[in-house]
Amino acid sequence: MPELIQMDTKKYRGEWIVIIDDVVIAHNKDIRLLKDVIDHCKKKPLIMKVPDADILLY
Amino acid sequence: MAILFRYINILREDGTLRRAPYIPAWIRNKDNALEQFSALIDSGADSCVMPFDLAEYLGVQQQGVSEKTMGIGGTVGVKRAQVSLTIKSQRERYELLLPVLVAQNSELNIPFILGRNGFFENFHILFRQNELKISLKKVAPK
Repeated sequence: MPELIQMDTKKYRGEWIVIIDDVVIAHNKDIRLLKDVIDHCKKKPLIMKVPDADILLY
Repeated sequence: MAILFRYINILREDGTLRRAPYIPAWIRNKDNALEQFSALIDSGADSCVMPFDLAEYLGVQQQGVSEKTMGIGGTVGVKRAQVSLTIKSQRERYELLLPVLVAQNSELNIPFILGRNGFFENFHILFRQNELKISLKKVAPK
């Protein structure tokens, strides 16, 4: 897993981010809109939903 | 052997850190390819819950009947489904058929949640909170 402590993810709150080598290469609120980017990645990315601070669940 | 994952750290808007037990979870999509997602291990959740857009993205077949389930955030409609989930490290690899509830509210802002039913039976899970690590040891479900 990437060391997200090194990454400033707060600007992506509530969004899906696509990460390769600890770099966010794409982001969107709807993961379906990231499909083209993900399909064209040269290596398998990590896809993560960045928690929204307003959600109590996590 | 147990698979050990470090908690991930996420910056809050106020600059403080949130540490949480997310692990890499590989899920088969409708084309039978594995894709890697971060999933929150949630011992307080009865079930595994998948966001609606993730299920649609993966092409997960959902059962027709919508049910209601309750969480801290309130009541939400869900549909039952199954996904092929793989947990792996460099040395170990475990694939299991995981029952999930797909949240039907596309506005619900939740991560992919690995709750107890269907997941915790397959692993002895140890939250090493003081070390910010989580370990999973595969066991046979009863």
